[in-house]
Amino acid sequence: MWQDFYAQHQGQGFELLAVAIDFQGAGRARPYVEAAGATFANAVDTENQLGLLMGFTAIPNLILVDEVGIIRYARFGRFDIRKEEDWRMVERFLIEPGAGELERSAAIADAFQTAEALEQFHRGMAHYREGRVAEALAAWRQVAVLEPRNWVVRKQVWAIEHPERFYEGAVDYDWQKEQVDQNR
Amino acid sequence: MDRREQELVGVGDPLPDVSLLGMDGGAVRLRDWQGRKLVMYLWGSW
Repeated sequence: MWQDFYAQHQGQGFELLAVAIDFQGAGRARPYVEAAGATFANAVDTENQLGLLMGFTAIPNLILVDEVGIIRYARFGRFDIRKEEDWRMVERFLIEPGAGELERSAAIADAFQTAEALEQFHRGMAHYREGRVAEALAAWRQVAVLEPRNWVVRKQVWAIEHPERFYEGAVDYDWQKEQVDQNR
Repeated sequence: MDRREQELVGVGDPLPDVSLLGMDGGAVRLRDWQGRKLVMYLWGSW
C-alpha cells in the first residue's frame, strides 16, 4: 500500500500526494485516508480540476513530476502500488538523479471531447455548488450520455444517487457492471 | 485533431498551479511541492 511505500522511501527527496477525485468533498475520502493511516499529504479535487486539465476519464492514476515541476510520466487508470512492477517504477523515478528512464506513459486523455459535454459538466457543477442536486445530476447525466466512458463523471452520478452501493461496506462493482449493461 | 488535444496538460508540461481541498478544509496548492520530486496518486472512493 502507499503508506508502506512512503514509510520505506520517505527521506529520499520526494513527496507523495494522494488526491481523491470526488465532487462530494473530503467526507467521502476521509474514511479511506484514515484507514490507510496515511502520513503523506492528501487532498480532494472536488471540481475535477485535474480531470479538466489533463483529460482523464478514469482512475487510479499516477503522475510523476520532477524537481522543476515538469510532468515526466502519467498513467490514467490501472495504476496499483500493490503491483510489484508499479512499485518498482515509482522507485526508479525516485532513485534516478533526473527523472530517469520511465516507461512510455499510458495516458489516454479523452474527456470532454465536445463543447457540449464540457458545458454540461460545468452547468452540473454550478448547480451542485448551489445545492441543486437534481439539476446537477441531470446535467452530469448528459455528460454520461455523450461520453459513456467518462467514468469520472458517470460514477460520481452513480455515487451521489446510490450511496448505498458505494459507502456501505465495499464498493459494489457487480452493481456498476449491471448499470453499464443496462446503459444507466 | 480536436481542440482539446492542444489544450490538455500532459507529459513534458509544467504541473499546473491548482489549488485543491485539504482534508482539514484548507487549500493544498500543487506548486507548494516545487523543488522536490512529486508523486501524485489520483484515486476515488467509487
